[in-house]
Amino acid sequence: MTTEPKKILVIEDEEDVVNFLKMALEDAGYEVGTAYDGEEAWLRIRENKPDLITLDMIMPNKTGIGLYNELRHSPEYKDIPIIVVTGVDTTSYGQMSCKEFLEKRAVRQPEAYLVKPINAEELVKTVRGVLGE
Amino acid sequence: MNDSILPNWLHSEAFERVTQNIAIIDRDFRIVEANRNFAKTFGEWQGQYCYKIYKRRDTPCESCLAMKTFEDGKSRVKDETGYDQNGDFAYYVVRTEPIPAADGSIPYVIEFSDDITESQEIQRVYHVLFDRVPCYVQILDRNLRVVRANKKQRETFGECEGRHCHDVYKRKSTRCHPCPALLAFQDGQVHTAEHVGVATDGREILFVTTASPLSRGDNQITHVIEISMDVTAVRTLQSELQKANALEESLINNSTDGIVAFDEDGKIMIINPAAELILKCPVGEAVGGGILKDMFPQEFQEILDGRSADCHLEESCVIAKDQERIPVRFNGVALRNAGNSLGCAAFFQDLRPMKKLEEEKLEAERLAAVGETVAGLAHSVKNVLQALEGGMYALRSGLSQKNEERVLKGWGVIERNFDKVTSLVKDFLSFSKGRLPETQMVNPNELVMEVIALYKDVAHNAKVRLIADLEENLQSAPLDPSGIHTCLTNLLSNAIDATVLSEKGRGNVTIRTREKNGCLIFEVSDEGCGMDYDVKRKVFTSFFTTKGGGGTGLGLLTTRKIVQEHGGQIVLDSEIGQGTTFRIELPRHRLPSPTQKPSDS
Repeated sequence: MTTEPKKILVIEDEEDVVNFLKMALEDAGYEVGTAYDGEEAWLRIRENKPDLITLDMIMPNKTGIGLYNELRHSPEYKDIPIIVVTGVDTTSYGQMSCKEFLEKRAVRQPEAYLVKPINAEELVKTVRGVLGE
Repeated sequence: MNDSILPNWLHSEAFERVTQNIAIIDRDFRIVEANRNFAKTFGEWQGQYCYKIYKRRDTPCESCLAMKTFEDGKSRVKDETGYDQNGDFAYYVVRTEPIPAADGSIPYVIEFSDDITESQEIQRVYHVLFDRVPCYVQILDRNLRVVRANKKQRETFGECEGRHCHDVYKRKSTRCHPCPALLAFQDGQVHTAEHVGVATDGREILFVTTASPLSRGDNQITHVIEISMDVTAVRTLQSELQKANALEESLINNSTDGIVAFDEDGKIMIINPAAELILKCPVGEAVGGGILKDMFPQEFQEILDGRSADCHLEESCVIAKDQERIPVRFNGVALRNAGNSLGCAAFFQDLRPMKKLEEEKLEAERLAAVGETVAGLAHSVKNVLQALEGGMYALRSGLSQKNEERVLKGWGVIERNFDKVTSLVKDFLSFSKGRLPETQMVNPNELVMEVIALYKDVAHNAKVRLIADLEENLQSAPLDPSGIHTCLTNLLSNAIDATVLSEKGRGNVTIRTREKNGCLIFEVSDEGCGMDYDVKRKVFTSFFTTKGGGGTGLGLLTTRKIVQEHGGQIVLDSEIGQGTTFRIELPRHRLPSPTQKPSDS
């Protein structure tokens, strides 16, 4: 296969986690960009449109839900598949967990969920599944 | 011999012994003879004219009785007025009798007079009294018809004479029951009854009637005099007073606050059911004044003793009969009416239900904090696990790829997160430790000084100046010293970090103590970087930290938990670039009771 590697943007605020995701995905042959918060995420998306996004739901500056909705409402980027990464499913969204919230409110459901802690094998398998590889 | 006694006596004595005044006048109206009584009444008469003596006139009177008797020889009676020997006005009744001579002529007239000044005066007084007395007065005959009525009655009920009394008073044609006049006619006694009458203007009039029999000498009752007192105003006042009393009584009896009133001598006048319940005194069982000294707060004793006018105690306690201390809000007030002391009253609200609610709320807050903490802990642990997972991946793949850089990187991640778990567990243990604060009476300023001493070197090395701004004469408070110590060190180390992280990298950190509105306040202020909205919002949520790997995010949470256990709250005031102030507010009345004596420490 000589096709160009697929581009993945990892949006995550924990440095150790970012490093791990980047490393594991690069080892699987993907080109990985990273963003630590919502603002940086938009910069990266605009300069180099990714084929897939992993999005951590608890981040500074902009909540994961906010960024998720912006992406889904953006004509240009609404079709980028998103894997939602959650830590613990706390009651951060009223009485609902993040997953329940998305199921009730989101215009389109995420392509997949990953619940921390994630191991490399599971991560790569999920990404491949979403990208139809 | 005996036969001459009577004529002699009649001749010489009778004239003087008669009680009437007697004067004999001749045809010139000159008094020729008079008895002692006459002289006593009218004074010296010898050689005087009768008109001079009787009336102080210099000429005979126009309608002179004596003159007529001289003319026709008939005797006459007439009421006269004149002057007595002192010149005072006098009423008298005069009867003139001719003293005829043998030839039929009348040379003298004898005048008998009775002084009736007194009876005239009594009659006048009676008339005034009858009309002016502020009562309705009427005289009834045996048919209960009005013979006479006084002015006040006529003005109120209209002309009455000849009408039946029930018609006059009530405009009805049948007798009243009971009828005091009828009873008085029957048994000759005084009878009283209360009636409602109708005045000519339609007003309803309440009156109390006293009927007294009037009899002539033979005890035959011919008339009854009824004197009626208008009691409309009195009755209206009475019924208003009754209403006011009933209202007051029901207010007092139904109050959920305890109310006790004392007279001037400290004896209980009023004690309501709520007070009996709070003080645990069974209904009706009198509380002796003696033991009250121990039941109510000292401030109230001063009111009882007249040394103070009132007291308002937001939180105090009364001691029930079984010696239990009941927390109450207490008001005491001296009772006065127009400057006169009437005693004093105590009002107290049982604070036990409120206290219980407060405790329940505190407990709920604690449980919520614990819940948040557990959720936060899980989140934090998952992040650490995730990092460890990543570290292990790097280590494993580095080893298989013989990539030393990757191995070292992975090892670094594992080490860092191992440390993180260690401090997390330590913080969590301190957070979950001893849910009930162990309090003792401590001086808040001393606590602050200890913490400042502890951080002196740290602050100096960080180029931070520590300032203690302490309120003087701060009262001791029941605090958990190690808990508050933890709070202050947490806040202080945060403040030092914030100063170091600021652009200047140096500045002041101030710890303040204050007493305000019954609230004990600790403040820690820095001149550091301040916080934006998002950070402020998350500052008290579990495991939030801006210090990267350096903090666990449990410091402020622990601080908040300790503050809540003391019944207080922690608030934060922060502006980007202006610094941050954390304020611990501890309302003194919510502080837990000391669990140890200070000497135990």
